[in-house]
Amino acid sequence: MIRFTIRRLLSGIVLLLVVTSATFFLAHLAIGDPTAGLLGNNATPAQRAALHERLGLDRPILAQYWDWFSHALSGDFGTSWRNFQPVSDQIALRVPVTLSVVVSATLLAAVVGTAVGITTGLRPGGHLAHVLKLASVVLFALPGFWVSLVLVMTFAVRLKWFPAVGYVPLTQSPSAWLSSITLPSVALALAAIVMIAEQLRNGFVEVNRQDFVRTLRARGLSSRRVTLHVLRNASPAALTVLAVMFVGLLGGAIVVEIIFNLPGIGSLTQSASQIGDIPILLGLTAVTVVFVVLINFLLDLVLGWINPKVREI
Amino acid sequence: MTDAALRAPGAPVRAELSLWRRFLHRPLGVTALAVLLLVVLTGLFAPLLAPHDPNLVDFTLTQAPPGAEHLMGGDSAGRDIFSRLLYGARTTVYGAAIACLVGVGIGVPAGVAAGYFGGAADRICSWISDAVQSVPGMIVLLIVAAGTGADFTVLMVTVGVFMTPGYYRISRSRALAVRREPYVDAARVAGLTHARILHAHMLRAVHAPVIIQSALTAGVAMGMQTGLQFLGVGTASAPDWGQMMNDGFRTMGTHPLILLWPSLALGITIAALAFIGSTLADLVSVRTEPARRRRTAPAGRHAVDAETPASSGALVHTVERSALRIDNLRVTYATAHGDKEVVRGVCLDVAPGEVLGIVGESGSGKSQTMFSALDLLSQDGRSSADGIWIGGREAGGLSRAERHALLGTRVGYVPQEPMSNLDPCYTIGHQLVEPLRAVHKLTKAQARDRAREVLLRVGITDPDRVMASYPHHVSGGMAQRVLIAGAVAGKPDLLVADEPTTALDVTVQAEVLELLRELQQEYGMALVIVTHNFGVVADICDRVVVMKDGRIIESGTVGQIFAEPADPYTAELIHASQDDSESRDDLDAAWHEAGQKVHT
Amino acid sequence: MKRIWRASLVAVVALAMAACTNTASTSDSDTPEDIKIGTLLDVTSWDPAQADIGFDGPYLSALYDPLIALDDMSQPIPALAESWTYSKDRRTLTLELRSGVKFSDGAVFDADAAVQNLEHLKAGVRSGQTYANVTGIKKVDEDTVTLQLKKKDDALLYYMGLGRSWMASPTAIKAKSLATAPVGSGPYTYDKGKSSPGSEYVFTKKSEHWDKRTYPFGAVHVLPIADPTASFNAMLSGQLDIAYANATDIPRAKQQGWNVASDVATWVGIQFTDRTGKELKPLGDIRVRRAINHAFDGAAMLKSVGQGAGSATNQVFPVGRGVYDQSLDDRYAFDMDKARKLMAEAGYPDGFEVTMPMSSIFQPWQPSVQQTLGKLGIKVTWKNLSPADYQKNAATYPMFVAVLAMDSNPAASVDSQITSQQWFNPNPSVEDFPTVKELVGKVEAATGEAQVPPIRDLNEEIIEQAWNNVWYQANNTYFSVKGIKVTPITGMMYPTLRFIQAG
Repeated sequence: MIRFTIRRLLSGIVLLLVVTSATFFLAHLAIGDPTAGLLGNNATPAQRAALHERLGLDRPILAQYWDWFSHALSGDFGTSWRNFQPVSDQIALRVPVTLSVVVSATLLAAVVGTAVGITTGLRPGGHLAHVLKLASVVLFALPGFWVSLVLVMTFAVRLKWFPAVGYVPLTQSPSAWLSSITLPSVALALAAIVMIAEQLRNGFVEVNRQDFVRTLRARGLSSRRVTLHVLRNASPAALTVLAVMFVGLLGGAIVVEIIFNLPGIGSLTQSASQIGDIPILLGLTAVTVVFVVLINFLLDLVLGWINPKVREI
Repeated sequence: MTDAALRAPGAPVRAELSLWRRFLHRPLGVTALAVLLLVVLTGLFAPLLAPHDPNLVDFTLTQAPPGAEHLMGGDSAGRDIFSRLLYGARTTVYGAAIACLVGVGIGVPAGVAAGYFGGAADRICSWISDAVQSVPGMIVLLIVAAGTGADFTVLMVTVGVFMTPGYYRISRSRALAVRREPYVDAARVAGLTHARILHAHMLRAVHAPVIIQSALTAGVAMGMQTGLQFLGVGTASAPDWGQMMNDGFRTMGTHPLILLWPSLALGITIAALAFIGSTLADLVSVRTEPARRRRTAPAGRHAVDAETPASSGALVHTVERSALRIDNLRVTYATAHGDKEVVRGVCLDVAPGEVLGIVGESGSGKSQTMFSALDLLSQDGRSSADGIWIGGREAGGLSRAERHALLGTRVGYVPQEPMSNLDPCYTIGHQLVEPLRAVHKLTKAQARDRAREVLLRVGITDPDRVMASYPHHVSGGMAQRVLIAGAVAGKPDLLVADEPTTALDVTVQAEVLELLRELQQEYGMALVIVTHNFGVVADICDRVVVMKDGRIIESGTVGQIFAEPADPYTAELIHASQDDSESRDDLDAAWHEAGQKVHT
Repeated sequence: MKRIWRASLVAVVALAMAACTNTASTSDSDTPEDIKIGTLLDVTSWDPAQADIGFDGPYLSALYDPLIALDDMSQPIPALAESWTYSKDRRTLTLELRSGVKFSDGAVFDADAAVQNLEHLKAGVRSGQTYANVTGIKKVDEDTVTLQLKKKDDALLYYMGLGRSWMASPTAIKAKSLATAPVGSGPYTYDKGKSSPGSEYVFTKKSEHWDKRTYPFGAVHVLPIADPTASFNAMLSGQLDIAYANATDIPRAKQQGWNVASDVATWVGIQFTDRTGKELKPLGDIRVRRAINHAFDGAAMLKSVGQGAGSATNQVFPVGRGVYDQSLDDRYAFDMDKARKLMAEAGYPDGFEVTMPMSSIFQPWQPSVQQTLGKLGIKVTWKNLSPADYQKNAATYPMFVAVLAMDSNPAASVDSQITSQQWFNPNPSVEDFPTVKELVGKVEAATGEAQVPPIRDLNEEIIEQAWNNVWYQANNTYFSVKGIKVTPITGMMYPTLRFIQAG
């Protein structure tokens, strides 16, 4: 167990290094001189040169990389090129927003997806199974912003049940927080629900074919109890999808964040890339990768708990 | 073995041909394919089809409603939407194709190599694949866009790179599966080079999943095009649905049609891709199903038998005297090719304290007979009978719940493959205790004591260690003892053992049989043993029925049958099982041979 | 199975109910005089020296008082500076300061504080350019400071009023903490507890402020909303009282009964950076520049791409203000034949080739440009750039599609559009055009109102020279609910709180 943990952590650190280094060089190669974007309309060449020096852009790229890297190790990602504030502060402000939405979307997807998946898994030819299949195609085919727009138009503009835009921190007002993340979470969760449900349904059908299910039934166990056994066996695949999805949502929340005007890491990514704010982009990359590593680590732990066989190979 | 090696390499080709042929029989699949082709052709021939220059600006056409001259009206810059939509198909399809090509080009070779060669190649490739998956793709896309001025081709290549892990994983797992197939070994032995094997088998094996994945990838890539345009990343150099939707998005409050047209075009195209993918996926998974079920549903030709033959077999005990009595049982399976009757009128019974053997080759319907007697048929099977009595009671007329209540209390069941019949996720102890608590309403402590007791009884010396173990910790023989313990823990009157020894070593086989015999006598149970092996019959059974093609061809006491088999087939079988055949495959081959000899 | 369903149903319902009840309760707690302002961009920085004039107005004007403010006509009016005088040579500006003003941390606003602030602003990365001509800042007495200028600067007061003279607490300046913890003397204070950065900033009203009457609202909420659709939805759902608007939505806003306030803010067209023809020889020929001016149908482009939100004109001086001259708008009437003739006269009957930069923001105009220039035989090769790169590199191309902010102050307009080096105008090339140079000299010689006539002449001359190709001036538009009035100010992309009034 300890060896397993250490191995995963080491692999995670290596991953973090590789990905952030790659992003660093890619970003510097692609974006290059950011001063014009930063100084606005009225900058003179002299001001640009001064800013250049201030940002350390006049030094060789490897030196810049080493600078960034050695500081990043201690959690210092430098300062934003836009407002000269520490990158870590800005990201720290935004991570809770994105996490609120993504985590609740994931939970929603897990709960509803499991319910739908089990129902359709128990009756693979039933009506709900057909609805699920159709829903999966429709949601896949709809452009990303459609679902969000329909939700806003219906529940915010017409019914006024939820706010159309904005985010309220949990610490400020738990109920307002919930209200502000409901629509974005649902928008994100819909496609995820369908994916989880499909995965679970297939898993159910697959596991149901296995011999031990018949044996369990032969022991006289009620179908509810048998379902729990099937669920546990079918869940690793669905959990893996859930983890992959969580990672995808972390990055893919951009559109939702823009439509609901949430100050999350997605909208930060967009604005930072528009003005070429490399320190922010690097910080975001690092944070995302850390989350990915953590999620995968958690996933491995849970999978090992569900099916101990996994732990030993 | 040699037979299989010679035959198998051709098999996938036939399967594939029929896969496409079957695809064409699916109306949904055909429609979807037609829509996709239409989109591709539209893109290709846009210059011929478009009524106007897609880039021609006519200020009077700005946000104009649809009309005769301009079928879908004009966009915000004053261009003909219909023409742009036609040209846009080009860009959209081109982008999706690029993403798929990159994904296939990198993912498939890497996946096949990793799956086929394993070892370091596998570890490195898998690590890279995981790494790519954990890269925040959107950030990289935005950086790339910033650096290249949102060059469309470069962006789509990047999307393709991020789709690579999907291709990698399916190719790898297919390659792994194929690698384990005997015909690949045979090909290696026959001296084929890796390259030829990879070419001949692997690429063929990954063919269908890659197409399915590509349908998905193409859809995602098209979605990405709009997503990127939405984020302000993209060029206006060529008409593009994403950019048209973006225009529509800005004006949707006042001119919703501008958003509707490209959304429809894109939605329909992506839906077509999704339907193609899911139809193919259905077909591919169906292809494996008959193979799985071949054991029980041997061949299509049975279904063609139109006449319903009379019942076969005989009932020797009275209803009251029988622990299990089956009268004229029929079992039908629904398959992709229609219904198949796998049990065609079977009568048999067994009295308390009696041991009945049901003998027959794979697919003769013997297991299905017992499954339907216990109401354990899988979901696509249906059974009907003139009557099924358990412990002298008519079980056919009971409600599902009442019938279910017999399981684990009156009836015990010992399956054939010990390893696949234990739930890998729970400890052995849990699997023994759970039914005792749930069905027999014992307390936790009582249930554990009872479980320990039966484990000791089936010859397990350290029950506590075994109960704490997971199924993969114990040997096959041990697992079978656990399963027997589970079957008898509820003190049933009737024990059904489905090939209880087939999967075990020879030495263990004898021990297990001995155990069953002892338990049967100790509890005074009726025991039904389903088996291939006349050796088993000779060891343990009082009476025996011989099944073939879903019917009983002979029944009688063991003495009778061995002394003077009435059916020549039986005689051949007895003869065959006296050879040194042990494995199931050997036995099956022997049975098959016997059948051939008898019928030719 | 059933239990699982029931459980998930209960969870969903509970969630929905919790969320619903909450919205009801928050809307109850709103006091009527609170105001919610939707703007386009998040605050750049709370430090006035690092802030932008463009969209930071509503944020900074809540927290800080300026030395000098602007009125509705963009004329400088007193704020923390009660009056000012120029010396005869106009190289010394003396400011008389308001007394009795305190910053919210208790520090007193006096001449020392003003000097510190001005020095801080002069050194600032973004604010520095306003004070480029300032060589010395001195305290005369407790209520008086002087600014020494190296040359006459007619735009200084205007720029200070636009948003370059916000006064912050000297303690905070010294502590370098302004960017994160702003301290000013303004009518409101920043309520960190109620704000969620990036999403909503809440400013609570101070009980006392010297200019109370200008700020009638209770708490001010500023919500940066980058997406116009999201902003419109927020208006529809009642989350905003004021929104930065998309011209397309004006009809819908009118349907809703909202106030729509617009004024020109930018000019849209093609900026020539190579008027001398150093890199692209044809552009050095006035006939080619004139031909391009004749070729574009500015009015049609305004109506089509510009959604009609603006004024068709060929001038860079804002429509409806002192320098603008309507009679000049016909100078380059849309006339393709004339344009072709001019091209032929210039020796380019078959046009020429040019590379122009492009970025997503400018794409709406791209097809028209390509087509119109194409009709003159000018073949455009587009180089795609990211928005950030566009601002950096666009001016390295001989000509580019531009949307450039205008100034309401004539002297400032001359400075930003004609004489000084800007990112969009790296080679002002005034020296190469003697007629222009002469007029610029006249402008600089005059002062105050007397400047207007020479600037009008200058305006006419640069149109004559086809200095650039202006298609139209585009509006900035603001929607506000009934009872709230916004006065747009050309020069501010978003007006400061002073221009948002009840009524």
